[in-house]
Amino acid sequence: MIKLKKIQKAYKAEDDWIPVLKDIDLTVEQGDFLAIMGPSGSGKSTLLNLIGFVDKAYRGDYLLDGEKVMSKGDQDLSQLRNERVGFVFQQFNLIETLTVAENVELPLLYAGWTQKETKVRVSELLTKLGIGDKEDKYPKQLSGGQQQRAAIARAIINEPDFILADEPTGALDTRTSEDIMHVFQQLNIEGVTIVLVTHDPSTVDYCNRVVHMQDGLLTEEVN
Amino acid sequence: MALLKNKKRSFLTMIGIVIGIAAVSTIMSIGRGFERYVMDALNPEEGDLVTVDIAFQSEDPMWMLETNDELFTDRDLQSLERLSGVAEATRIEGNLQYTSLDTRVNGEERYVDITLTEESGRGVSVGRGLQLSDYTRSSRVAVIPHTLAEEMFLIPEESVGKGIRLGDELYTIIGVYEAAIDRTGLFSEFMLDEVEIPAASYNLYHTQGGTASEVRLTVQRGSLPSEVASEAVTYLEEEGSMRAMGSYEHWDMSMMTDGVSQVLNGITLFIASVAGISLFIAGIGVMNMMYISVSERTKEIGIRRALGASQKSIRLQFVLEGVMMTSIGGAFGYLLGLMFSAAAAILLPFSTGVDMVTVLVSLGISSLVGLIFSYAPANAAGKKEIIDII
Repeated sequence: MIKLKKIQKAYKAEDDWIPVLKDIDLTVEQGDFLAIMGPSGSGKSTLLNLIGFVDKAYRGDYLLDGEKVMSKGDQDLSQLRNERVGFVFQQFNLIETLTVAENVELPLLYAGWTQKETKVRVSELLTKLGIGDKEDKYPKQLSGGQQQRAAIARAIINEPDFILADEPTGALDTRTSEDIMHVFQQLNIEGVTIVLVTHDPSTVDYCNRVVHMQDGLLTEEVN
Repeated sequence: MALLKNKKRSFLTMIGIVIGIAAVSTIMSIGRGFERYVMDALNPEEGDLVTVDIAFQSEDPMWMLETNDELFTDRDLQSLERLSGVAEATRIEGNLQYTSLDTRVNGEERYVDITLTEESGRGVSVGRGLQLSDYTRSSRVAVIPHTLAEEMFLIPEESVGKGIRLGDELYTIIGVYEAAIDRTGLFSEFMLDEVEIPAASYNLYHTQGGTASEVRLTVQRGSLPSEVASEAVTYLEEEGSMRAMGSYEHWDMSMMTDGVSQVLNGITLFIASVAGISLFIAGIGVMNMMYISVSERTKEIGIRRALGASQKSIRLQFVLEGVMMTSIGGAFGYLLGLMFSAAAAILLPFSTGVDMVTVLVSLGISSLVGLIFSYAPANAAGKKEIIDII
């Protein structure tokens, strides 16, 4: 589904170009639960942004279902982000002035739904993720685990092709981390493709593929 | 809603808009009240419809007297009736005071000047003068000057009861008057041969409906007579059938109210500049606040972008917030303006009130200010790079 060919990216610092990604080749198939591991500063998050259509300043080819992504404009990329990918962040990134339900329905609204139409779907999904009673609460009134569940709900409400999770358990305690990983595992079993960035080895057990990132280079561990 | 989250800041930013719109709606309410007042005075809701008269004035008076061309053709009348505010257009017949007709004196064809009288005529030396009854009955009777009587019948006293042909009609001479003798002789040519007949008789027997020099427009209710009249004059000067021969004129009743409207114009100008300045400053306040709001909500923008919001939809969101804020300010401003104009109405000879146009203009201007001044901050919000944010 996702195919990266010889992806290169560098940041400019003063007069030097500092390479962040060096000739990355990566393929993600439908149904994968892929973990990208590596120390901080190794370029994991950069790679994730690139896969999530946020960053388009790179060299090499990014093929999505065989189609090149790079040359698309803002409108098209926004649509891709909206329809094909769901983001889950370490700091949850819920909008604090909106209630949980309002946060979760945002992707649907950007996809052109009306507020009325989203209601049922949002309720069902929140109930499924175990926070059905928190619909009208604000993010600050929720625990970390509950906020991350809301964020996951927001990521999958639009039934995207894949989820990008950037250290989703990084701000949670061990027990809650396990809960959240169970949620991901359950979603993966239901057929959702997940790309997970992590440096917590315990979360890797849930994944079926692991790649390592070191100084901008990617190596796949075959198990 | 972000506006509600920061009530104090939004309120302070709105004050300028409130004052500006209050000023705008005050002048508009007073202006509209004045307009209604003038309209009521000139075109009341009840009773007869008001009419305005439009006269055609030729550059050449002689041509006007002699021509048989219609000064207002049927086509002119039909076009006038199609103008907005005109209920009916009719010719006014017989408002002529002088004309000339041909007659025969001692076998010689010649034109005589005719005075048309509507009431009683001048004093006579022989017979009797024209009376009101001659006018009302449209009698074919004439009073002729001494000189003409002398010429026709030698002895003027014998002319009474005799006939005189004017145009194709025979008139009975009922009196002879002594022309005021012009000793200097300067005007003798004009003094000669002035025959007096009742205007009604002339209209009845001599006009073919062709020489009416005035047209009367009946004004529809709800239209200003002065506006209808000047519109009609403008139309006639461009399209009227006699536009080449002279000019069209009307007497404008609204001139009476010019004094009031001059004072009002002064006040309007003053308040309009207050409104303009305060709206501009308010607009800059809005812009400032929007920039602050955008930078405070950078994170939110990034999240929304990650969820699929395009630059366009982010821009729209912030523009809408700006417009929302200024239109709320505009609504308050309108209410404030309503109170001001109600207070002003106590001092003025007319009343002011709620009217749709003022409401729409107030809301329109306030949202326009929001649109213009929040566009740049909203655009900046849309252009933010997502990678830097999340």
